[in-house]
Amino acid sequence: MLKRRTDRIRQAWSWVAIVMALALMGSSIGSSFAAEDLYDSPVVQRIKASGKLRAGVAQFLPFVGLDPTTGQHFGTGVEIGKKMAEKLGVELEIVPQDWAVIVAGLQSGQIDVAIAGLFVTLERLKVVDMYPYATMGTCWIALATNDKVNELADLNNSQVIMAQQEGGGTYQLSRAKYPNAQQLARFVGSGAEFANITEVVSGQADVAPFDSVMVPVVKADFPNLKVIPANCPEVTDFTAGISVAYNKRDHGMHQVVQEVVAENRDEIEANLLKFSDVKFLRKSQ
Amino acid sequence: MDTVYAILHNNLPFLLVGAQMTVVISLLGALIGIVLGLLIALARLSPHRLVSTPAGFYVDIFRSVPFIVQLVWAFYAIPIFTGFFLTSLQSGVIALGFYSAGFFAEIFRAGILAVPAGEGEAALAQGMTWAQSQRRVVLPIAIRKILPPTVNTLVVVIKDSSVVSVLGVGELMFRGGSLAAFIFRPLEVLTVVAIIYVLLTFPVTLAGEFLQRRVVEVR
Repeated sequence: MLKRRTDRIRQAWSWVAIVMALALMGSSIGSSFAAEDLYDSPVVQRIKASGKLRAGVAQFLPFVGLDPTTGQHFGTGVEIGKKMAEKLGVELEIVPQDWAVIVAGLQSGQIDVAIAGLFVTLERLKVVDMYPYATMGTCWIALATNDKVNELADLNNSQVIMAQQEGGGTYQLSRAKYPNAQQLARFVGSGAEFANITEVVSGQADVAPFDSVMVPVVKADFPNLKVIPANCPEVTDFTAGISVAYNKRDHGMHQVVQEVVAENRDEIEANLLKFSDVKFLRKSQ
Repeated sequence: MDTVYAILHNNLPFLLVGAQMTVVISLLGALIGIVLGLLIALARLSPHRLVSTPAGFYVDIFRSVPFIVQLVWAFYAIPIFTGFFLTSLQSGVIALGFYSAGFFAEIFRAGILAVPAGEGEAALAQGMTWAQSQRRVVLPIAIRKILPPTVNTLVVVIKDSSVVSVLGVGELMFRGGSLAAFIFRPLEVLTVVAIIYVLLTFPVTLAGEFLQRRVVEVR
């Protein structure tokens, strides 16, 4: 009797052990399938094979800048790029690009991802996929002495000349919102903000767009300019998502970006403040 | 002026790294341009149409298409069509070389044609081959005529290297643009950049004048 009971207990524990072993096997198989599915796309496979994530950048503070004291790129976008490379277990290679051709860089395979801080626009979404990680408001700068433009309502006027960057996200948004204004779009290359300031200061344009987070820097550097609306960055004109861009239907890259943004939300917010701080940006000048 | 001085004082090393890259790109681009240009010039002068006609097409195409278009093609379009990738620096140097070769070819061809026909014929009559007559007689005379426009084109190559900044190559114009984007002072930064370009091109002009005087003295 006792022997039969002991046998039954032993059998029961054997079943428990078998079930546990099967459960463990199942989870490892499941996780290995998941590991293979994770980040799986031709671009990600290419990245892993080469050991490098080639991230295209174009200058756009606070997302990407080039520090003249170190010659190194910095910015919120660059930090996101580093996290992406860490996640994929590869090195980050920064590939400087121009705004007008950064999307071409993705399409041609010269870069794997664009971390330049691109505005999400319908035009861009036709050719690439984008994942937003921040929002940015746009304000306008004008000469303080220019009475033609004082409020946002003054901008949709055929007498107002708006300076824009050809290929820029703000240009596309402005054309839709201010169809009456004259759009002066130029091919100015990276760092369009500096060209926008010149357009206004030289009188070539009445207004030029400026990113809300950088407005305190403009106010500090250029007391002869005014900002519209006056209480920017608390109130801004249109807002747009600032995103990482990658090739259409690149599910692997999408997953990487999604996870990096979700896991680093606080750091992204902190970096936006850090890299737009006047003291940080002007410490070397 | 204060701002220009401050920019120089705070950022000169950053800009000089860009100037070094400009020198590298210009030298390599000019080398490719001169060698390729000479071959194309000789091909254009060939009596064989199968050789001279394609050379003519090369000159027409590469002199007519804007350099920035050629650059963008080299860097972005070639990978799409061929799967073959060039880095931005390689694309910049090669595109600059191929572009300038079109201009050098015409300079060299004009210089060779300016040599009196009798000189070449006399060389052939002496028993030289066509290639020998070109190398030993015609080209040395042509060099005197080629030198001024060649120096001029070299200066243009140095300035055209600034277009390579479109590909993000860290040469002088790119670094200047980056600095302007960083400190929001484009006019002042570009003034400093202009001064550096003058300092880069002036020695080329001086060297050209020196060589020309030497060649005239030798003659």
